[in-house]
Amino acid sequence: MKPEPHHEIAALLRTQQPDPEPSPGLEARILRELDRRQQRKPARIWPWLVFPPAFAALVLVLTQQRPELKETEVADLPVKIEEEKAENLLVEQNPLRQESVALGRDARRAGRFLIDCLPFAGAAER
Amino acid sequence: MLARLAREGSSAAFGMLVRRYHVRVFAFLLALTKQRQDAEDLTQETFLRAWDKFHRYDPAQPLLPWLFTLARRQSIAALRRLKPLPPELPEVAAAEPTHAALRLWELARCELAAETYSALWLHYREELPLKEVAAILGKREGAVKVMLHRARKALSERCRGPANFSQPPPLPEPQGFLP
Repeated sequence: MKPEPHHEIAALLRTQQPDPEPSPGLEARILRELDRRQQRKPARIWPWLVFPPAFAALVLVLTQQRPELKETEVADLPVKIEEEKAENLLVEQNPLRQESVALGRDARRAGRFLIDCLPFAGAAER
Repeated sequence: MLARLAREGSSAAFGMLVRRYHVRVFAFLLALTKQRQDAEDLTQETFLRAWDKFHRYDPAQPLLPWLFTLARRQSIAALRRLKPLPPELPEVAAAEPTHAALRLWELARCELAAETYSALWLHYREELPLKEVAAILGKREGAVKVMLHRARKALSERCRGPANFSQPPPLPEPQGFLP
């Protein structure tokens, strides 16, 4: 077998080797950390077992305590539409005035429509 | 046997493995990091990692190279989140080695790059074959061979010929903790 180059260095390195020692407490430190980690694992499981049923029970209790809404209370009340002051737009001098009144009406109608579209809390129970 | 038990989840068996191997893992990490405190912290992290990932260990293979591989990965991860050490850390004054071989090891520690020194450590101290050294360091076998050759050459030149091996030149100023 071909000797490795600078074999005298290799031989010298093999004759005696350093033996570094760690701090005396290192082994205990590792084992302690290991124990701590093992104890921590089951502690992570119990919140998953406890919290979801507790949350569900809370929701159930809250929904049962809420007062029943009467049928006519919110949804079926006729929406009062305020009467607009009658204006004689035909004799209005400013032509933009008609436009602004028309746009204002459109905006109010669209707003009312969007509000009517919003779901309300008791909709699902009905 | 112990490794097999530890793989099945026996913490007692794993404790025995810690007792058996922690010094050698620490020594390898010291070669890699050249910092005593870092090496101790990384030894702890390596064993905790080993416990978490023991199901990936192949019991047909020797355990120590697997631990060395984990240790090296831990040291790389630690390097990524490296915070510079305070400059005025109290250093422990170590006795100067008297034996020529120990002086040569000390010279290697001070002169060689950490990766080269760790390759030297694994091959000459742990007596691992080149193939395993390469696997641990994540390199090809040829690259490790070249690295070791250059290390021996550098040390040989530093010692200025075989006649001076009994008394290698004075060591440079130590840069970290002595093992």
